[in-house]
Amino acid sequence: MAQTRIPAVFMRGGTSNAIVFHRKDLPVAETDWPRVMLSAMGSPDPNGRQLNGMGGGISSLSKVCVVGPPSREDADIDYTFFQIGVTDDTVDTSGNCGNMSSAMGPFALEEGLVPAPAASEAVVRIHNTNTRKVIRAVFPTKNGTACVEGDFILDGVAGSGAPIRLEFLDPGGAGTGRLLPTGRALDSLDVPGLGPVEVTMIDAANPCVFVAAQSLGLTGAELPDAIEADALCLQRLESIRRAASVAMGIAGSEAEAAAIPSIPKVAMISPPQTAPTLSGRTLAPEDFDIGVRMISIGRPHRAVPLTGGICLAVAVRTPGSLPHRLARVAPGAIRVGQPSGVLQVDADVAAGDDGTIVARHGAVYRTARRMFEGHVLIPG
Amino acid sequence: MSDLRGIPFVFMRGGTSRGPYMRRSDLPQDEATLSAVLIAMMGAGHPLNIDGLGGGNPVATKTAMLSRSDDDWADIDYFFAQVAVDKKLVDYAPTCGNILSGVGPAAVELGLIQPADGTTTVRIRMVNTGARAESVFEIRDGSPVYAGQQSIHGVPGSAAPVELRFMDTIGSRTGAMLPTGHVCETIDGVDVTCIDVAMPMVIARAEDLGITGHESSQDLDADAALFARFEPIRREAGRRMGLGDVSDKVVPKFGVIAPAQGDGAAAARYFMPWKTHPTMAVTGAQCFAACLMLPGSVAAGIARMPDGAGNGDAPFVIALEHATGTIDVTMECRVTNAGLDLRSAGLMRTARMLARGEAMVPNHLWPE
Repeated sequence: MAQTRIPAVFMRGGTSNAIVFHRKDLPVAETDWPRVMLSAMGSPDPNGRQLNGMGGGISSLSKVCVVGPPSREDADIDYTFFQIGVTDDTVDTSGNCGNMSSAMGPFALEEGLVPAPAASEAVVRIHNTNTRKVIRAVFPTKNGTACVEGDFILDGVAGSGAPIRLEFLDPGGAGTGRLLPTGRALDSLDVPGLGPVEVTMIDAANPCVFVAAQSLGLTGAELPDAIEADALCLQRLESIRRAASVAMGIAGSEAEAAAIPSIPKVAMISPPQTAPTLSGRTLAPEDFDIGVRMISIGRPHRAVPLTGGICLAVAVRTPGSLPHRLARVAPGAIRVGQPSGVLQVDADVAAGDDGTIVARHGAVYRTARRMFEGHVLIPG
Repeated sequence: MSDLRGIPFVFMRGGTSRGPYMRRSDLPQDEATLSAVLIAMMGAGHPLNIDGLGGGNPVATKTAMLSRSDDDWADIDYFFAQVAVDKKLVDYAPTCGNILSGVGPAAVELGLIQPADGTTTVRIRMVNTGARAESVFEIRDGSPVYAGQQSIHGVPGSAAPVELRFMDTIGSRTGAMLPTGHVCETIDGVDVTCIDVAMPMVIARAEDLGITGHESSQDLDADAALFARFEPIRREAGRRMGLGDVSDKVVPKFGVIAPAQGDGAAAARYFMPWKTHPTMAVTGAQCFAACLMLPGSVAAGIARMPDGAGNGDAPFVIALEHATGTIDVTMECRVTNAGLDLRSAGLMRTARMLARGEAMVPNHLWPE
């Protein structure tokens, strides 16, 4: 039997790549999608290489995006993310991929799903159906296509490209229902073995608790290996995290908090300073606006996860918070110094009608590019 | 004008490799510009090739450039380029037998040839090395057939067979199948056959080296005494084969042959030569198969052969067992009083077109 041709675009988004399909080009019955997506990626492959498809044998190279007309009025497109198993046949829609989200704006523009902008900047409102959240993509264009060339450097991608600003709308209260779960931008937590510690507990994209590295006797310029080797520091950060979990209403007790290690995330922050990076490059104080060392499930993160970056951006823009106090105030995006280099984030935070703080969006920056356009071929 | 330009391509798996196949005429002619375009296309210079079509593995950063051949014999010229993974480099020196599996079908898909329906034979000249091969596969409704029952090691499932017949393999480097003039000789007390079919090899019986020939590549690599035993034999054989002092050369290769462990014709292990090949080299497989058919060689009589093998009437298949599977070698040969009359040695591979369209590269790399 001849192979089935399905129109497809293969794109890099941030530090991932994926096949992007139009919803209309996929089988009408969504139950047929897993077979199509698995075949297109060359999965499952017991050898773990996906040589018989477009995959690259690793999760960041085994992704599929489906784009269709919007199902809500405040969006231009619907976008669904599928994580495709490499050695197994899983097709997982439980989460979004922030990296691939950055490719959706250029895709929508170049496929004619949104009109070409009159000016040299496009705004595409992306409804991610996995998370039921709207993401606004803002990116430079020329002649109706997304710019690819640019000066923006994204860690993890060689060279530079045109920046794509991804605004995650209304990120407040993602885990707890409230942007400031304690009602305050600054709290003092009584941490066992440490005493009172000043923290900011904030819930934007993901609940996080921020503590000054100095409160733990560190500079905040330490690299992940040094933090990992510092058992006392890790233990104190976990104590802070558990106390925050209770204070934020995520867990009823510290014992319960210990059983929910994924949220809140805990991070040490520091003012701009001279700081080494994992690549060996040294950051100067003027290279970034705030330093962060984030802990992910008990281990120091080598960078900043997307949700953590958004949460930090919202915190920096929230008056009275610890990140607001420690960060340099500068025009434009917030430059976050982290172990892998500098990450740009931003947020729009304002006082609501009733005087409470509202996060309108948290933003990250990525680059993307189209790597091929045409068809993928599916056996049978 | 967009920042990107498209280059027509078909993206194929060929054997256990993968990459874009393009018309040579759709790419820059000068090598520096060509390299820049291929590096960008594949995303070379990054461990995951995140910004290109590569898959973070040298078997997934290969490219093929095809054109109609002006050679009297060949239909298609196949120019191979191995793009590096984490370096911005392109190597035009080698060819690739796996990517070769996709060349015939890709030449059809790219409109370079229009074979009639049925079994077709495409004659291919490998531009990088000058080697020649025939590719035999099915055409239906004007297009290559991809679905089929042929399995190859390293690729899940099955697909339509692509038979590759390598030509001019006799005396590939030495000019003769038996460059020492002997079908079997003794070096350091071990019987060997010094044979040059596709690759010069020194082949010995496993039992003569105190192994079974059924060991895993890891076990063999751990056996320092084995390497110490055969390396002097290989060096002396290299001298006798006219290859000079081969102490720091990877050719000739060393191979061991043994009775089959499973359903194959025989078991073979291939040394590169200071490390055991994890499976089997395409070239080595042809050399082993010829040795098995060669009367009087160290391998004669070891293999289970199909009826009529070597009578010259029809091609037949020798299934060689390697450490993790088998590889099928299709032989067209006749055993004569003078030895072995080998027309071609071939391999059963498969290919699949995975995608087609235009591969996008930055415009500024290739200004016109």
